[in-house]
Amino acid sequence: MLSIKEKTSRPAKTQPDPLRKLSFGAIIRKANNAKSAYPVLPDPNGQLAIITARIIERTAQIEALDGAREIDKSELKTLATPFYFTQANGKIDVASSVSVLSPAGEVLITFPNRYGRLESEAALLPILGERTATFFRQSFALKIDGDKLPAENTQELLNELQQLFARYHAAEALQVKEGVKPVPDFHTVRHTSLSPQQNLALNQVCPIIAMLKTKGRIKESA
Amino acid sequence: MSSETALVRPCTYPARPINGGRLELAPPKPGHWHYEPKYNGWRALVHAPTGSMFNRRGQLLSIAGLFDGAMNHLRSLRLLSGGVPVEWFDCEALCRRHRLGRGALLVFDYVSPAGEALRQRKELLVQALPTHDYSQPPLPEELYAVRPLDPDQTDPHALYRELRQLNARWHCLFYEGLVAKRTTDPYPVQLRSPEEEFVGWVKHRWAY
Repeated sequence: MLSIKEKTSRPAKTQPDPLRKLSFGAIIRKANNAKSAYPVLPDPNGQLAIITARIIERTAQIEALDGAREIDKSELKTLATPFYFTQANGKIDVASSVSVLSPAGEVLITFPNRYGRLESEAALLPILGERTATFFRQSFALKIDGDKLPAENTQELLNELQQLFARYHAAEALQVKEGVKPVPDFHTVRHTSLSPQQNLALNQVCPIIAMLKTKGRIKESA
Repeated sequence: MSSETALVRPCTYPARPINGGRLELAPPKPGHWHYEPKYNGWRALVHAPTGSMFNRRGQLLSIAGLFDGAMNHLRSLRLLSGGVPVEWFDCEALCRRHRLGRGALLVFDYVSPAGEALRQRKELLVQALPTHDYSQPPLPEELYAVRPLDPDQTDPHALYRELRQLNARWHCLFYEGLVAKRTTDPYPVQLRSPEEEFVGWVKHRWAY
């Protein structure tokens, strides 16, 4: 059996070629992660302990309620999404939200023009086929801490960048985050160009973002 | 690492549950949910054909070599989902965090090619593998399925308390709490972000 200790053990002190490290001069170093011992606030009559216990207990209650609210929100979004696609079908000017009413007030489910990036177009092809390129385009971002790349020279620059890294045997240090994302007007044209069924199928692979708003919509209690 | 392993990329990030807080404080959930123990181990998405293991961030797990026994068993497993062989298993790998069941793999789900619901996936898993009896520590280097507990038959609150008592008896944090899973959901396949949470799974832990 492998020993984990072996993997993390430090090299011997007599290592002939020591690690060459950069000097950071006067730059402030991050403190060690050891847990600090803080002075304890005196609490002669136990009042602080009561408040502290209350904060801890209420934090736990909020956490449990947060989780439950997330489940309810998800349930409502799942139930509202087919309706959103059906009522918007064929329209150019689509309402951004769907309203859900209750005796306690109204909840708005908003569908903004915002989509996550897909790893590839593979899951889209069975639904959109040859029309995939109409609704989705390739999207990529290089992890480079510098100015944005000029679009007209992108490929040339990428080729040169790869060659440059290869020349220094550092090709693996260059990372690209590649993907596919909807075209800018996809959020609008999907309702006129695709059926609700197609939109629901697409929603399985490229979920629409839905947000719930309750602020200013909850009835005041009597 | 074999060249075969190096070529495999995870088909998804493992499903990440939302935080439901302490179970005794959690309001009832809409729909039908199963509960299972939350084991204190390493999350591992396993590609059975190559034996490669990935952590929850989609990186190769450096401790994979500790699970050879369980892995050999998993690699010989033939599970079919809609006629297609299942390749990816969602597991908890036990090692290092406590002394119990080291080298054991607990399979609690798989990525289904046919997209079946959790209820069907669990049925298939418990038919194919011995299930872990949560009242006993798993044997080292063994392979188990994690059996779901139906709240109609087992009170989740009682189980929650019992797991905590087992931790005290075993003198370690073997269980961290419970995970509730909606029985009607397909496995949430996504490569968008390892941080993305899945609302169909809810963890209820004792402490943080």
